[in-house]
Amino acid sequence: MSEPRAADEVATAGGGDHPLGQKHAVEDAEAIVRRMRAFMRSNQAIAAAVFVIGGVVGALVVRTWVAFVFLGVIVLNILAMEICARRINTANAIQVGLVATLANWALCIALAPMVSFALPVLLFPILITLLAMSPLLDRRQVMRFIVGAALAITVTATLALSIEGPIDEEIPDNLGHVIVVFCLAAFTVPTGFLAWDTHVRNEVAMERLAGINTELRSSRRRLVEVADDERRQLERNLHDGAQQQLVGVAMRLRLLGVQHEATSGDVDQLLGDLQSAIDELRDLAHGLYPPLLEARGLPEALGVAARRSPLTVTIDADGVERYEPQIETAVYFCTLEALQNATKYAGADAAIAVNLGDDGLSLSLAISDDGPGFDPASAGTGRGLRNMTDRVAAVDGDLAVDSSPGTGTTIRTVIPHGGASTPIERA
Amino acid sequence: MADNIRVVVADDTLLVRQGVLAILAHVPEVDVVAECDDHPSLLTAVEEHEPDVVLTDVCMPPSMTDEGIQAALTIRGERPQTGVVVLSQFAQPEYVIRLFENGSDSLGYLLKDRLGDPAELGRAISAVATGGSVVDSQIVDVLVNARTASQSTLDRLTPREREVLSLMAEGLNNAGIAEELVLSEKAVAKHINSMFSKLDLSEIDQSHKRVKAVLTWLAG
Repeated sequence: MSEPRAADEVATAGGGDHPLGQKHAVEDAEAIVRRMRAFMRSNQAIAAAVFVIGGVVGALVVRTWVAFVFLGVIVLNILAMEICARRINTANAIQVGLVATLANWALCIALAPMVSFALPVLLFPILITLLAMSPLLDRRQVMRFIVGAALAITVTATLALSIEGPIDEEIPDNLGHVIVVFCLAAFTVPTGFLAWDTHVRNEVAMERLAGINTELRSSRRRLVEVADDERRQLERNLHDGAQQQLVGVAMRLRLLGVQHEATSGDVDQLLGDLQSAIDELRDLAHGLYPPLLEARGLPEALGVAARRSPLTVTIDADGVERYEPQIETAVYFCTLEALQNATKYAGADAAIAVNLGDDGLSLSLAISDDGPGFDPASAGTGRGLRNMTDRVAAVDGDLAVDSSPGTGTTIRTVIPHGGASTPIERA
Repeated sequence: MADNIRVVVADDTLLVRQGVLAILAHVPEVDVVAECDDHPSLLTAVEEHEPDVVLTDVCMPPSMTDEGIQAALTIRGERPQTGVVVLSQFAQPEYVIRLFENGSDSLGYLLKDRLGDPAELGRAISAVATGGSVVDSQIVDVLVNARTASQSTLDRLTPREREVLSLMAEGLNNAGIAEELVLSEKAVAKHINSMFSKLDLSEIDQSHKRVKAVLTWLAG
């Protein structure tokens, strides 16, 4: 396996602080800026419309100096939005967003005593900032924002309801109603845009997550496959190479011993040494990958593993046939790991039951011992358990450890084999 | 000699093949007619030379899994007069049980780790050539231990009876067992009778059928 490829995989898997990785973090920041700018521009457009209507109404109907103050406040807001929309970028989105927010809140509080008939309209610029800003903020900031918005609304509403300003007195009811209805309808545009954008953001995030999840799962599977292939290859090289050659040499040595009785003592000693080398090599090769697993499947390979274990191991594998190699190796090595763990912790006279079952859709494995058990919460995750979990997860299975002091330990996993992938019978 | 046993040897490792051939060179009643290094060439050689006995490795190309067992079953199925001795590195009864699934006549399973004595190998080849069966005693031990772990019947056998059982599975007749254990044939017969009644097997005369009976019982 080449290193750059592994490095790539790490980079796509979890690089950067963004939960979806560095590349998506940039895309996401740009989307945020677009969202904020669209919110500011639509806010500005409505303010501009109000300025025009206010100007006409002020000139023709109201005719008091307060109308100029009103128009001045609107202009300030339009200018603030203009500056914010121009200045905002991926680095300062939150700060600029806050400036725009304060501009809107100040606008509403300032207008409330002048145009109290328009109170419903005044609530929108406050609420809309909340909607616009929420994706930029973390949970605590959003909470503060909500409290802030509530305060702004309280102040605005209190002012509007308690003071009847000069503009209110001058404006006929009908005209007031038309203005309020128009403004409320206009505010559905930015509100709707923000709702739509929030929806799209969620959808995109889910799609990206699903994509990354698929990639991660298949890369994890590939890594395990590569490791298994290498183990298998190593086992074959050892078995078919060095080991067989030593066996061939031992045969001839034994023949020599039979033929030349005078030296048979020396030969026997040599043979003993050679045999222990062969045995060691064989154990090593077998630990890497048991050839019987590939040739005959789980029940037989686990049978051998059970006999090698110093504990009493019974295996029930009724109805278990052949599966994809990744599934078989996962179950095999998981069982082996569990047997090793049991040897370490369950005590020398523990009895282990290995139960394998197939319900047509998935392969289930349960390994129970009658040892002292342990408290999974306080034990932490040992390397053995970690290995088992990883092994099983690579083939989409979950691992559950069931144990408490005094009740023994049971390790369970269910691995889906798809049902459609009818058990593979290899010749 | 006209009635020499004609043998084909198959193993993909040159050193092992040479080792087997070196041993066979000291077995006067055997002629090696062909050597092969994989599954297809073994089947071709058997077609071509019609040997009396085939000696084959378990793991051979192409798949390096259990070609030898497959070849043995194929050869026994197609040419019942040909005997097969599987030479294995694995003292794993799974292979033996599979090999003996459809009967043990003219089949043998020996461990490479114990090959070396020409006389022993010659005996095994002769036994298989005449319809008998041979199984390495280590395999029998493994089977007996496996059986002992799960059931208690074998516990009732005396150590002596177990020895007799192992030798019986190796294909020895009563005289052979008597010689090996330095006992009288009569004593051997007594052990066998008591053992068979404990294991609930009826007495069988021919030695190779006894092997089958014992293995079948152990494998069950």
